[in-house]
Amino acid sequence: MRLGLLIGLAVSSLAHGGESPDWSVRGDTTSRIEYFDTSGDRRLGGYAEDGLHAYQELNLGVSRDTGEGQRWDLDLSGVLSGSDYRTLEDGAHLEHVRLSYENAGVPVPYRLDLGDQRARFSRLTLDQDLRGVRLETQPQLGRTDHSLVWVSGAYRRHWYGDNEALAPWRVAPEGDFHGASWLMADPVFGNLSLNLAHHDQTAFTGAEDTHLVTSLALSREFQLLHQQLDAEAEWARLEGDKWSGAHQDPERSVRDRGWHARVSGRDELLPLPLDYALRYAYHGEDFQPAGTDVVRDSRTLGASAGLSLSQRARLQGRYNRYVDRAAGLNPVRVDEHGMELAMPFAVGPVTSRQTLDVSHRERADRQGNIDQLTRRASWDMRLPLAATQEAQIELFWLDLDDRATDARDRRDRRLTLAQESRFRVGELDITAAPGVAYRSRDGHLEQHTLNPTLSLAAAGALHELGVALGYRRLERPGLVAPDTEEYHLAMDWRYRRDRHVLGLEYEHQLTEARSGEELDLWRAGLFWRYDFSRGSL
Amino acid sequence: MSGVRLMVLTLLMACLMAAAGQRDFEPIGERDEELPRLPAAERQHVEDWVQELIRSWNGRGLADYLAPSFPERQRLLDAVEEQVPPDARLRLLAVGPMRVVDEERDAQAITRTVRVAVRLQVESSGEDGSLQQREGRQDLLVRWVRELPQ
Repeated sequence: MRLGLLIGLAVSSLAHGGESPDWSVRGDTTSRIEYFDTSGDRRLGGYAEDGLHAYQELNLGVSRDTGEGQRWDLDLSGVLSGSDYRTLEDGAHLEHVRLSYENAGVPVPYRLDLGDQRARFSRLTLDQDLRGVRLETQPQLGRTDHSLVWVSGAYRRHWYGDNEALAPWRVAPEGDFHGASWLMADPVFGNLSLNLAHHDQTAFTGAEDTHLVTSLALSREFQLLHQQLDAEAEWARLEGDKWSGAHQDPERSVRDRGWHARVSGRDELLPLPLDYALRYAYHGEDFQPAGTDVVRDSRTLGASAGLSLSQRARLQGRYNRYVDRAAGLNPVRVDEHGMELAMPFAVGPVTSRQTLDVSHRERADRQGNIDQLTRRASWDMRLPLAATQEAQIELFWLDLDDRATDARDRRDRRLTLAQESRFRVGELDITAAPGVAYRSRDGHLEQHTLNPTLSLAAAGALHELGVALGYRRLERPGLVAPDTEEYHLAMDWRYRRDRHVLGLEYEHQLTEARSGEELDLWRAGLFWRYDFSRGSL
Repeated sequence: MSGVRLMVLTLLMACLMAAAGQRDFEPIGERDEELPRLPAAERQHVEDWVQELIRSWNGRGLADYLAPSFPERQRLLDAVEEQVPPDARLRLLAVGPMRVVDEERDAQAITRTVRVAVRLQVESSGEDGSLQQREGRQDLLVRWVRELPQ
């Protein structure tokens, strides 16, 4: 805590020292103390760690602008932690540090970034947090803007606090990344980029991937036949070595490709506004560039259209097809189509807003091991009872027909009723929101849940207070998990003054299982946040 | 199956917002401000908003929070519907570092894309019918719009 106070004093003096016109200092510091207490049967839920957990974090940005197009930026975040929830290990952690320099006062403007940053070229080549170096230059040739970027960096789990105690396939892989990207932004022809990224990645399981991805990406907005269109496409090729899983011959050469295209548009011809989108993605059997969200061996087709019937009424339709393990012997295909209608509807003297959504989904593999039909419908109505009162009703129905084995047949139903009233008492704005939710599932993993809640909030010029009360009854016939009743209370208070925020939080949960076990847990927290920025937004 | 369910949670937390196909041209030297940083007041708002998001997940109202432009939006919502049991409950354990990864300004508003790391815990009955509890660190990509006074 003493170190936390020192940080606070240090940043405070920095802020006051930064009065020179070309210097600016921005940032904030937060101290948080929480206490957790759990008694009873922990299998019924709750928090993993008891006791006192505290941390102090600091976000600091220092900039210097020389006035000749040159600028220095230092951006860092760190935490001094004694909390098992905030960080995996106690102690001081530098969570983010970046130093940037840019010079726009030369014929070819350039920018250099050192440290933690998001390296992003395109969806199929590189989109990854890295600690490394990035250099960008922007030569202008004619009317076209050019941007040339070089990136070299690495990702290590301990830099970003990843939990290595998770299942191996969930632990983020470590890797080194090097790449270059050339983007041309033309006011007539749109944006075009050539991207090249080399990945060298090792998963927690020991699997290694080394590959080079090259891509060409295009995007352009244009008008055609009274259609306002926005189109983008990318084609990529991957070459390299992949871990095969066999110890005798651990690596195998891979070469594959992936591409995606999307066009969205707005019609300007019809009397009613119409918008639409169409997209397709193809990822080959071995096309899975590290440092991207690409799922290999998959196909995606999506189409949607929306028609605005009036200012408040809208009809939307959609069709989606996904194929996973597409090149294998047993691909899994999902076909989904649905429709949503949002429209006002008069209920007596007031006009409600209603949304009806229906969908039909089939999921099946070629060999017949999976064959499921899911039909779903939901209806949501919001009814303004007065200028400061609104009621909400939601109905939900889902039927899953497991045509392959019948083992997962189930039917879900859900009813939610809620009401919100806002009123003013003296200087306070009060919000009261009672509600109840009933969720029921018959068939596979049968469960029935009843959950009434009441939340109250009061906000004044400096203070905010919130209280939430809840009861939850859970019935799980046929499951190992017991039937339970839960009582829940949560309170929070915020005090904001000038650059300070002070907060108090309290949460208490009592769970009683019908079989006799009990769980009693509470959590109390206190935090203080101070913004020491000069000229804060 | 439990693996699939965890993947749903991971997907949910990884992308509340869609990433565009390729990077944009951002002229050097034309920014009005230094590197975009999240003011402390907005940092507090984002933390409070994350609490709201957790409540919406618990109330199965996630669709209101997913950007319409998110490419796999419907697939994610379908997966949540199919794989998350009615008794599943999400708890927020801690809010970690927050970074502004993109910022756009016009006369009406400042739109920031904020990446926030959170530690979460999910409790539910598993596929074998027993109570299960898992936790993990996730990154949220949040589009944060601040309307400017006119």
